[in-house]
Amino acid sequence: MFGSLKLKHKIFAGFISVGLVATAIAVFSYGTFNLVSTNFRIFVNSSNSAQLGLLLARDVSEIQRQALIYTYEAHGSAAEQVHELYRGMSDTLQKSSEHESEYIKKIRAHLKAYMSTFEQLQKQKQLQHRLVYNDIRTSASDAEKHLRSYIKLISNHEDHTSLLQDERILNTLLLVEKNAMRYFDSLDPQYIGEAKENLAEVRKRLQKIEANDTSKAAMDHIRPAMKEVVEYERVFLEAVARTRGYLFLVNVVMAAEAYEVLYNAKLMSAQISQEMGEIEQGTFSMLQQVIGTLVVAIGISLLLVVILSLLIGRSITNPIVSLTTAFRALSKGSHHAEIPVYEADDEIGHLTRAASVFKEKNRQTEQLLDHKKQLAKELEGNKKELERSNDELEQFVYTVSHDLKSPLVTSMGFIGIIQKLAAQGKLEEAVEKLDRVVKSNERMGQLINDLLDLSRVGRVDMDKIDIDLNELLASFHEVHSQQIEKAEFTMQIEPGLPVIYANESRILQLFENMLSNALKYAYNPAGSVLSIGSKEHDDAYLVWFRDNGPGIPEEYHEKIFGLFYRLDPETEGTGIGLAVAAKVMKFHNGKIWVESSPGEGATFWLSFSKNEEDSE
Amino acid sequence: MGYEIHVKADRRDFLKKSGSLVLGAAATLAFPNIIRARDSRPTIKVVGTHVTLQEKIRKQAEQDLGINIEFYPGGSAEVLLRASADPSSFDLYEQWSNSINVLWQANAIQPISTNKLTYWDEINDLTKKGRISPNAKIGLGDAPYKLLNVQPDGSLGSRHTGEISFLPYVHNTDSYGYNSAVIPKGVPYETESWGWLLDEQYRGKVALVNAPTIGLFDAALAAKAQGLMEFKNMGNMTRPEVDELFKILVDFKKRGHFRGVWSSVPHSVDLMKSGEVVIQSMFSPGVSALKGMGIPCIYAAPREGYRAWHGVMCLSSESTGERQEAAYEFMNWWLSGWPGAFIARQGYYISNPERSRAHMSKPEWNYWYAGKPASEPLRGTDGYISVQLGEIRTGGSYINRFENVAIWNTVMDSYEYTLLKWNEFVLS
Repeated sequence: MFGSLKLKHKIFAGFISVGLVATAIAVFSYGTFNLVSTNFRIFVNSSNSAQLGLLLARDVSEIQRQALIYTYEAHGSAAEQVHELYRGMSDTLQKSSEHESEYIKKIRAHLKAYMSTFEQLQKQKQLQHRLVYNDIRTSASDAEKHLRSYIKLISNHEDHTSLLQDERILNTLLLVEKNAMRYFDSLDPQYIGEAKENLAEVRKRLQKIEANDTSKAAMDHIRPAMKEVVEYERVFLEAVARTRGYLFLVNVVMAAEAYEVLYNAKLMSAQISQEMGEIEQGTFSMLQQVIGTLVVAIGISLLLVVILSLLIGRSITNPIVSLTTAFRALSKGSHHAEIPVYEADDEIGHLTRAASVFKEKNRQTEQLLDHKKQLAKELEGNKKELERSNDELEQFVYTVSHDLKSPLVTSMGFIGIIQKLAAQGKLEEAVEKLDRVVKSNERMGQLINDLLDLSRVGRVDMDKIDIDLNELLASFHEVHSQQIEKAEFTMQIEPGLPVIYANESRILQLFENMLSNALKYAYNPAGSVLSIGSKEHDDAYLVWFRDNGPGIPEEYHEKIFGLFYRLDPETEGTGIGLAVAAKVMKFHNGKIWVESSPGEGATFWLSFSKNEEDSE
Repeated sequence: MGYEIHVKADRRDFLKKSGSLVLGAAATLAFPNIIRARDSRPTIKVVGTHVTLQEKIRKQAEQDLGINIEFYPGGSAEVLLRASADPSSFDLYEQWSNSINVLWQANAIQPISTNKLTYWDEINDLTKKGRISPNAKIGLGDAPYKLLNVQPDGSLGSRHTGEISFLPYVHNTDSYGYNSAVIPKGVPYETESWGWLLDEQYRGKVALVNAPTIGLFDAALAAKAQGLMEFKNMGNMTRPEVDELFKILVDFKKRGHFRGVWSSVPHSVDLMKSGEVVIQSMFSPGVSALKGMGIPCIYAAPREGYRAWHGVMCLSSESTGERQEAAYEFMNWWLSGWPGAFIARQGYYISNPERSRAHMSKPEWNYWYAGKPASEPLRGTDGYISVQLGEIRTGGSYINRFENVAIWNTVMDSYEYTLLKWNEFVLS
């Protein structure tokens, strides 16, 4: 099928095939790179998410650290840091909302709860701070102020022992504050108990003073002092409760929320890392497969290109090489050059057909050359014939002039003699001489008749028919039987003579000449025999006339067919008979030749073509 | 802390809310100092958790007593802070015995006169003497009887004085729950052990309740059961003991043993439901919820004994006069039978169970108190079937369970310190 394609179609098919393969590889590569690109984007996003997890883990650790700093150190900047970190983490989570996972949702919820708790912590801390650093001190200071005022009032009339006891109340009151502050510093509940015991002791002593001293001074200072001490204890215990409250918030509630953020961030990072690992592994495997596939595809495409190139190249070069060979042969004139079979209607097809045309031309040229050679050969033959004819003509002219001149000279001689004899009056002698003149003229007449016969051959009686030589020669024998007997010849005609296509008159003339020639030259005193027979040779019938006469020397085998040539000039005749025979045979495109050796008789062969057209 | 509730309506996230102090703090500040009278009847304010502050109880009490009752439920830490910081914000405080020391220390509550308690004599020995039966373990930590009586010196002790710091009423036992689809089912009181919480084979799938006064004891019981450490008194650990225990816990945590801590019952349910956890501290409502979801969670009966909790009803130091009288009426109502039967259907016990028996069917009594198989499906307080036919309460009868108390939820002297260490543990 491929071979039937046109050249340009083959080239197009090749390019299209390669283009399709290249396109397929390109599409495949595009798909692959697209997938790799997608994976890369996912990888980058995952990487960002993983980074998000790490950032959240870092920030949540920091936010809890800052919260603890705020809790224990009451640094306002730490609280601001907590809020700042929370805003940062919220913003980060907000940015990641496009790829929100369950982990992100959980992280957001826990972070929100964390911050909500921190805000509660701040309120508790602020309340606690006010209680510890303001209310407690105010209460302690007020109670101390009332007590000192009371001590100052009574110092003038109280005994030393009582004053000392009152001073101890002040010291115990100071211990309350000291123990309270120890608790808030150390968070050791032991100091709560001690502070409460101190307060109880202060209250007890104040109650005792109140019971023992009913003076106005006592009423004015001890009762307010007692009131302040009660308030002092209330404020202290509330501060303790709020301290425990925010400690619970930061160490239990917020720690748990922070841990959940950490935990989910780590899980998210781990999951993302796993996904990234899977993507990486998948991408790597895919790339390996793609590379393998591409190598195979490229190999196949190269193979395809090679095969196509070979196919196309061979489909182009083979016919061209064959055509080149053919043209090379054609250029040398060969018409045997092998033209490759090429059916496609393309340029090579055109060349192939041109080669066929050249081949045909070469064949025709060769035919023409053959014909030319034939013509040249014929021309050569004609030339020889013409030369022979010229020779014959010269011979003829010479012979005619000579042979015609001879009787004429003879006749003129005798006429002169007759004239002389007539002048001398020797009439009888002269008349006797006239006979000689007549004979000379008759001979000249005979010559002229024979020449006429010769000239008629080929000009008159041209019609040819199939002639059965058996019948013709039988009739010929009968007609000439007396002549043959007179010449003491025996004529033998063999049966099985052929039927030839010829002019019957000429053939009879031929046979008569052959018979006349035999009768003149083939006399055998032992008994002359003229036998006639035939045989087939190739595409010709060979008819032979064989005598048992003295034979003909070989040097005369050609000459005897010349005009006016006679083996024996003494023998009667004009020497034209065999020349006529030869001309008759030529007229029939046949040949005549003689085979003979002296003393062994002679055989004249007449060759007639079996093909009627050759006899034309 | 005990939250053994068998009805879904009561599955609340107590610890979550214990952290939700925004409203609490606001409410604390906003609490009226003067209790408004309504319809000329006295009105009392009750702060506490959702375990006992249930609407059905409130309505029933109002109906029975003819007083106005206002409930202010909240998370345990929230209500403790509110009560300890502002005694005027409530008349009655309902929580756990481990908050008594805080409240008493804060002078937030006043002694309750046993003479005014109608059913005082019916209250069993668990609270009065520390043992439910002569053979029972008292249990470490702040066993309620140690905190019950107000001593002449103002401290709390076991010696009866006629004045008590709280009204004994609701109580229960807690332990850990485990997924029997993963962990082979153990034998109650024999193979089931707190030590399972620190078993290496459950690494990464263990959680504790996020409360130092509760979860710390679960961890301590586990460490002791595993032979990792001994305590002089687990109920009141010294700082070195706290340090050693947290060293062990942090070490386990760093090795990835703990999934983390849970801060609410739903959170504990989610952890086990999702498979993140196979064993953890649990409250009864969480176990019931998981069973309802088809997860075979077993509430263990540890051979070392339970971690028990006891509800306390305390009288505000600011409650006086008519409100104080109404508060006493409400306390007496709680021990009158109906409330005890009501909360029994949620899995809790009352301190005078016989009074409630009359309000319970025989199958109910047999299942909830006697530890016998349910002879018929039993309905919870929400009206739905909560106990299937033939089901047996884990740990056996009321007596059996409280004979095996290892420790009581306790606020130790080292409470503040444990808070700091807890933070370290949680975030390690």
